[in-house]
Amino acid sequence: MLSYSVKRLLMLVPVLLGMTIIVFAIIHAIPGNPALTILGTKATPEAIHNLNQSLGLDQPLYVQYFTYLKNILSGHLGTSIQDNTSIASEIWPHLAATIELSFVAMVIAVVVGINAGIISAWKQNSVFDYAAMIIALIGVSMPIFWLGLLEQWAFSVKLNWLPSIGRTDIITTVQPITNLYLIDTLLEGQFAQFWMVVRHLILPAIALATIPTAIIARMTRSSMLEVLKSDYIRTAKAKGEHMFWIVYKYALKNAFIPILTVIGLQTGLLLGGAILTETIFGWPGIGLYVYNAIQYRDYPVIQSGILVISFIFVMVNFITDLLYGLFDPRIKYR
Amino acid sequence: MSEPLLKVENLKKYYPIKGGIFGKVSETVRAVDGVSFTVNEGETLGIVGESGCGKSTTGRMIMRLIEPTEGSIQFEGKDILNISKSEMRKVRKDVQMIFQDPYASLNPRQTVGSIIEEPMIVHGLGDRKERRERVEELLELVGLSAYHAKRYPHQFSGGQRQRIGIARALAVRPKLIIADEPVSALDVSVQSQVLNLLQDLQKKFNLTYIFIAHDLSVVRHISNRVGVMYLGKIVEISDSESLYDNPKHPYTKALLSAVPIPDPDKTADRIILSGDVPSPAHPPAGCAFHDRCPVAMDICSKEKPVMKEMEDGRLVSCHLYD
Amino acid sequence: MSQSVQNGAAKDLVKEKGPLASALTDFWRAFRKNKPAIVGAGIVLFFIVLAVFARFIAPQGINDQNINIRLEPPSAQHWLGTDDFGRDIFSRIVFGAQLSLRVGFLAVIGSIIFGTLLGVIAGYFGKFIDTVISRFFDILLAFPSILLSIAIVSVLGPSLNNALVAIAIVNVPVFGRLVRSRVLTVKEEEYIVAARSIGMGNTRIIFNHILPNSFAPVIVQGTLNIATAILDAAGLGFLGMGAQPPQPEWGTMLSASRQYITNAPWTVLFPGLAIVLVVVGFNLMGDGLRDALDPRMKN
Ligand SMILES: Nc1ncnc2c1ncn2[C@@H]1O[C@H](COP(=O)(O)OP(=O)(O)OP(=O)(O)O)[C@@H](O)[C@H]1O
Ligand SMILES: [Mg+2]
Repeated sequence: MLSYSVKRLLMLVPVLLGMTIIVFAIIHAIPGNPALTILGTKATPEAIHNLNQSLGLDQPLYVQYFTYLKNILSGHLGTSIQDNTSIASEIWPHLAATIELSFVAMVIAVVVGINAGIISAWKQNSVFDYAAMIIALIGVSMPIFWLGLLEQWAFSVKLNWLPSIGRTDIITTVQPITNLYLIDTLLEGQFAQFWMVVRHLILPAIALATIPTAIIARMTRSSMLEVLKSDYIRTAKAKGEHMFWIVYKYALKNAFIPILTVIGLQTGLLLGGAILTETIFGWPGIGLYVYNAIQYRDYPVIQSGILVISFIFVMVNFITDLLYGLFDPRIKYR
Repeated sequence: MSEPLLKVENLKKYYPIKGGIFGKVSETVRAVDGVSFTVNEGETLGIVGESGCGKSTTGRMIMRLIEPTEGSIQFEGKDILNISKSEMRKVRKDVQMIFQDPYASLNPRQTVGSIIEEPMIVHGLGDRKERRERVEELLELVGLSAYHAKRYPHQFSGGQRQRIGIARALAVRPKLIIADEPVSALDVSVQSQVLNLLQDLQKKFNLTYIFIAHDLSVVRHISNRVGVMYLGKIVEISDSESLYDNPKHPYTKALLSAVPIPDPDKTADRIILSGDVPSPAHPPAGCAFHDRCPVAMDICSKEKPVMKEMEDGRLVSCHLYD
Repeated sequence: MSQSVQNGAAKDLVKEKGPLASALTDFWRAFRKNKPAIVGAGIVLFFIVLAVFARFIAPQGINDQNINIRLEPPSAQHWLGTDDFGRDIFSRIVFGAQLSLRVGFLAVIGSIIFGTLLGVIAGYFGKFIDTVISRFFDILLAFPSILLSIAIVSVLGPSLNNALVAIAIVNVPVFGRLVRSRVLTVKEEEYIVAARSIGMGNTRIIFNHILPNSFAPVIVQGTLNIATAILDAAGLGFLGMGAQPPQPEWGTMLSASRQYITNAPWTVLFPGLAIVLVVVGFNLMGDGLRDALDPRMKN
C-alpha cells in the first residue's frame, strides 16, 4: 500500500509537468502575434512591445517555460492583463466559491443518487425503478445550462421562491474569513446570512448536481443488483432480518467501491460544469472568473484558472485512488 | 548421414521478472535453459514434458515468435537468428505451426476460406483464383469440404477447427511443421483421427514434424525420435523404439510408468513422482530433477549432469551413466 | 469433384465478407434484440432525417426575419413560436440538427481515428512508445474535458469548426486508452501468434486481425461520445466559444434567447429540448449496444 502510494505519487509528476506545458502553450499557440490578439488591432506598437515584455514573450521559449514553472512553483500565478491584479490573490475567493458550490452539488448527488439507485435496485422493475432510470437517462442527457435557465425561470421568475443570481443579496456582504460563506456566516454567528447563503446555493447546486446524480444512481443500481443476488444477502434474508436493514447495511458496504470511482471521475465533470453553471447563476467562482477572462482575452487568467482547476481535479483523483485501496484490500497494486 | 533439416544448439530463453518501485530485475525465469537437438528431413521429433517445462517456448523460438536469449538455430544449414529479412521471409514460409487451442488460434471474424488463404497472400503465392482453388483443395485434403470456406470458425467442432489450422499450415507448402500439442484440446476419439491425418499428410508431402505433447502416449506412434524435457532442459533424447522399450533417464521412466500399458506382459512398477515441478525461477542446484528423483545420489544435488551419448547413439543427461 | 460443385463453392468464396463486415453483421444481430437501443436509434434516425431533408421540412429559411412577429408564442403557423428577430424557431431547430449532428459525428470520427491510431501503436508496440503515448493520454485526461476544449478554442478562436476540433482532440485519449487496452488483450490471443507465425507483417496483423477484434467497444463508446460531443458543442456555443449567431446551433440559440426567457420561454425551451432529445437518442443507442454486445463494459 505504501509503495503503491509512493509510486502513484511519482506518476503524478509527469502528469503535472505535462499540464503546465499545455497550459503554458496556450498563449504560444495563438496564431500570429499573441500580444496583438490580446490587445486588439487598434493597439499601438508601444503597447504591444510593453505587453511582450511583461509577459516575457520576447525571450527564448525554454527560458519562458522555466520562468513560468518557477513562478508557479513559488505560487506566482501571473498578473491579470485586464486590471493588473495579482491572480494568486484573486483566485482564492473565486476558488472558494467554486469549492462551496461543487461540494454542495456533490453532497446532493451522492445522497440522492445513492438512495435512488438503492431503491431502484431493491424494487427492480417497479414503477419507481422505471421512473428513476428514465429520469436518470434524461439527467445525463441534459445540457446543464439549459436546466439552470429553466430553474431560474420557474423558481425565481414565476414562483419567486429562490434567488437566481450570485452568492448573496446585493445589499449584504458576508465577512470573508475562509471565503466559504456557509462556514463564514456560522463563524460570525450570522444565522440570517447563513440562510440567505443557503438559498442562493440551492438552484446552482441542483443544476450542477444533475449529471453526477444521474450517473451515481445508475451505477449504484447496477452494482446493487449484483450485490442483492449474492449469497450473503440471501442468508440475511433467511435469518429474517428486515429487508430495509439488509439492503442498507450489507449492500451499501459492498457497493462502495464503484461509487467511489464515479465520485472521483465526476469531480472532473463537476469542475468543468462549474463554468457553465456559474455563468448562468452569476456565481463568482473560478468558472466565471475564467469565463470573464475569455471575454477580455485575459490569457494569464485563463491559463492560471485552467491550471488551478485541473490541479484540483488531478489531486481529487489521486486521493480517491488511495481511498480505493483503503476500502478494498482485495485490489492488487502493481 | 545427411545434413539435418533443423539444428538447434544450446537454446536459452530467460525471462527477467521485474519488481519494486524502480523495476529492478528481482528474479529470472529460465523457461528454456540450454536445449540442443537436430531434426532430419521427413522425420518426426516428439518433444515431451510436463506443463511449464518450456516446450512451447522452444517451439516458438524456432518460429522466431520469441527471440532466444542465447543459442543458435540452423534451418537447412542457415543460422536463422542472423539472416537478412528477405531470407527470413523464405524461412517463415518453410516453417509453419499448428496450435494447441483450435478455438483460440483462429480469428473469429475471418471466414475459414480467408484464414487458409491468408498465408498465401502474405507470401505472394498465386493470384486470387489460384489461391481460392488451393483453399478448396486444402479443405478437401484435411477432410473438410470446399463449401466450408465461407463459414466462420465458430460453426465448427474442435476437431474440424484443428483441421482448418492444419490446412492453414499446409497452405504455403512448408517443409517443417511445429505442432504444439495439436490434439491435447480434443476429445480422445477425435485425437487419433487428427493424428492419422497428420501422418497421412507427412507421407504425402514428405513433411518434417516437431510434435510437442505433454504425455508420452500421444507421441508414441507418430514420432521417430523423442526428446524428454524437464525444467527447460532436455534430459533424454533417442529414437522412440528404444525410448519406450528401455528408458534410461529416471524422469523418462517415471513418465512412461504413468502411461497405461497396452501390453499386459509388461508389468512395470508405477513410479509416482513426489512433490511438484519446481518453479523455473528457482531450479534446484545440480540436476534439476534430483529432488524428485527416486534414485538420486549425492552428486546429483551438487553437479549439473551433462548430455552423454550412449553406445546406441542415445543421449542422456544423468549422473547414473557417468 | 464435379465441375459444378466447384463453381458453386468458388462463387460463395467471392461473396465472403471481410473481417470488418462480419463485425458489423454481429452488431446488427445483437442490436435488433435490444428495445431501448431501437428506440434510441429511432430518435437518432429522426434527427438525421431532419438534418438531411432540412430544406424541405423547415417551413422557413434559417434567417428569414420578420420584425412584426417577434417573440410570438407557438401557433399553428409557427409551431414552436418565433424568436426576437421574428424567425421561426422550428425551422431554425431543424437546420440546427445539421450543425449538431455534424459536430457530433465528425468530432467522434476524428477522435476515433487518432485515438485508434495512437492506441494501437501504444498497445501493439509497447515499451517506450507506449509509455510516451500513455503519459500523453494521462495529461490530456488530467483536464476536465470542457475546460480543455475551452483552452483549445481560446487559442484557435471561437467558431463551430474550432469547437469541433477541440472536442475531437479532448476525446482522443478516451478512445486511445480503450483501444490500447483492447489491443493488449487481443494481442495475446493465439490467432495473433498464429498470424505472426505465418510471417505476416505488423500492418496486416493490425488491420486484419487486431482492429476487427477490438472495435466493438469503440463503436459503443463512439455512440455514447456523440452524445457528449453534442452536449459539449452546445455548451461551447452557449459560452460564445462555439457556433456564432446567427448560426442556428442549439446552444448558441439558447444563449441568444436567455434574456427573453421571462416573456418568451419557448425561445429557450425548444432548443434545449432538441438537445435533450438527440442526446437521449444517442445515449439509449449506446447503452443498448453496450448491454447487447458486452455487458461487462457497464462501467
Ligand atoms: N513471457 C513470459 N514471462 C515469464 N515467464 C514465462 C513467459 N512465458 C513463459 N514463461 C514461463 O516459462 C515456462 C515455460 O513455458 P512454456 O509455455 O514453454 O511451457 P510448456 O512446456 O509449453 O507448458 P504447457 O504444457 O503448459 O504448454 C513456464 O514456467 C512459464 O511460466
Ligand atoms: Mg505449451
